[in-house]
Amino acid sequence: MKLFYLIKKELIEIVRQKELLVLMFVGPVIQIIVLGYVISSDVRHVPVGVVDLSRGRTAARIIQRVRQSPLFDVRYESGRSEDYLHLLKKGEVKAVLVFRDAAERPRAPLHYPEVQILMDGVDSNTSMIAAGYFNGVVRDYILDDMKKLGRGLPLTARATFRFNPQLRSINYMGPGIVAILLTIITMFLTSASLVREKEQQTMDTLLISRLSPLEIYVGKALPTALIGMIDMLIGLLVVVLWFRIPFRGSIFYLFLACLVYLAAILSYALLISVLSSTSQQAMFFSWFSLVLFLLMSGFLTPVENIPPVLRLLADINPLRYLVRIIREIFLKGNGIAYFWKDLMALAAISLALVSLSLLRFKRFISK
Amino acid sequence: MVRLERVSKSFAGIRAVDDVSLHIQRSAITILTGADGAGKSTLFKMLVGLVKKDSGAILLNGKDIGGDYSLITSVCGYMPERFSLYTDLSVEENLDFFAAVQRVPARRREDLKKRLLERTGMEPFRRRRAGALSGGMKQKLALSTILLSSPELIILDEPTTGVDPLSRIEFFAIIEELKREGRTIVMSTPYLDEAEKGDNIVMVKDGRVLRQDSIARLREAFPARLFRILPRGNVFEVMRGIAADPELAGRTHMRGRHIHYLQDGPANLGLRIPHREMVEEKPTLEDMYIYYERHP
Repeated sequence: MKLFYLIKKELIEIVRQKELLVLMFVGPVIQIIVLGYVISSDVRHVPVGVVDLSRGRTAARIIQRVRQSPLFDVRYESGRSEDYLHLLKKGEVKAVLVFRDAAERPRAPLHYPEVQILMDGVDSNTSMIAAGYFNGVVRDYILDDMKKLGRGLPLTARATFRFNPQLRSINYMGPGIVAILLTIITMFLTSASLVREKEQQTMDTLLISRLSPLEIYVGKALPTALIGMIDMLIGLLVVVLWFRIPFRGSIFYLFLACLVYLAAILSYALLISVLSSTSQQAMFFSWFSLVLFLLMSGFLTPVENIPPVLRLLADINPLRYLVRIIREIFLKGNGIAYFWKDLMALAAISLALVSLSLLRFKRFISK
Repeated sequence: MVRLERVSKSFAGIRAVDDVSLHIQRSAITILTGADGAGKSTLFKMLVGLVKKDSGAILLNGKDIGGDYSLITSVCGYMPERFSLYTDLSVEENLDFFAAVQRVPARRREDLKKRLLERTGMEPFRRRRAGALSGGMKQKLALSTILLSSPELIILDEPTTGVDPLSRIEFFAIIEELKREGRTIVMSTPYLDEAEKGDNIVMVKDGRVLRQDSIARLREAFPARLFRILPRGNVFEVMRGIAADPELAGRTHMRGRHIHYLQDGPANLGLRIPHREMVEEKPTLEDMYIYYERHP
């Protein structure tokens, strides 16, 4: 009963802060929609410059294909030799495609100009993908030519993409954004809650009341968990209805994974709250942690890219497991048989964090 | 009811409470008074276990509580120095919450709440958010929340600081009423006129108890005579002259347009002060506090 009143008190305090309420329930919708469009690994409309020194028909045809492709925006065209590096330095284009006449093979059956791609390597990821796209354009042109001559490649590998046949990056990112959202809302709300009690000195009143440390702890965590789950549900609806991302798995498993994850993240947030003396400190801790969690979660870049020395940090990062599970459930429709190891790892991390946080909280109370 | 024996507490090498012994009598009002930083709040926090004492003993009804502060918290209600209720909750919601955490049986809650709201005159404000109450109202609400569990011992840390004079009078009337009901009250105040109302007054400075007793006995034992002097000329200029006289400086203080001189020797040094009028009066608690502060 006491716990019920504590939870009720927490919920009233949250609900009475109208600005916070808007941030909690409208913010996530905006956040998912914006992030959904912004965080995309699809490379489109790469600004390129074209320099055709060969002035041949082949070069003109390839350039035409580049122009028609939605992957490139031809922003600059020239027919004379110049300082291409200067074009890249100005930043108006990300790549310069230079077509030169291949003088040594003018009478070959398939006569092609020499093609040079000068890429701006600052954004290495985009550059690599754009270079790949351009090679694809050239390769397709050559294959079409070979077909006309009745020739073909002796071996071709045809790729079939399952689970995300259109290779939409939002399908990959969307479920991850839901996991991030769950983390942001619960971590920030919970880490601020105990500190607020300390700042208002209501903590003293709670401590000498007849509430046990466990009751205070659970009373603080449960309301945020509830809000987190509601937000997650809102997030799910947005990614499914707005971005048309197929949800192929079981909602039950998704909630189960989120609950296990919440135990970990709420314990971590309470630990921040116990260690911080002011809201400012708690906010700083939370931001710092969130960035680390995010970078080591596999949400943006594969965990496998992390150097082995830092891999341990990724291994104990609860967000990493949730991101993986949520993608498995969403896109592949996998059941627990496929991700039980991740779920167990998440449960182990949760257990460790709950124990550590509770221990620290009890020590804080008995100080 | 509660006795503190040679209790001490230091923070980072600084003694906040230094070898304090104190007797909190049952069904009486004990008032701790002293300047800010004298150690009053730390002493209260030690009583309820929010701060652990370094040494000494706390006895409840003659028995050492050891480290079991629940023995005290189970019979006491503690009101911290700052308003420490939930400002986003209404008066009624605060009362409901604290009634629940203090395990007040549900069937008694409504009746108790009604009586407390009437007693403190807060009935018309029951739906108002605590954060929107005046200073005096806030303190009455805080007092109400601790009275929900009908504690035998009521600990109030500076309950009237920052409260308007009328609300202070009302608040003290409630304290007197609680005493008549047989409750034991221990409170602190920086206002010496208010401290005079206590049955037992404890003067504190730098974590040490200067003197403690009833106002009558404190007066009886006071080693000095008080002379109220109306100076000739501007009181500030006269005080500047007194500051240059070390014998007088430690025995005088300004009170409005008068100067209070405390004679603790055979000679009346106050005669050195150019004056129009010199009248002997009964020393107030303020006079005694200032004297003991200078001559501990």
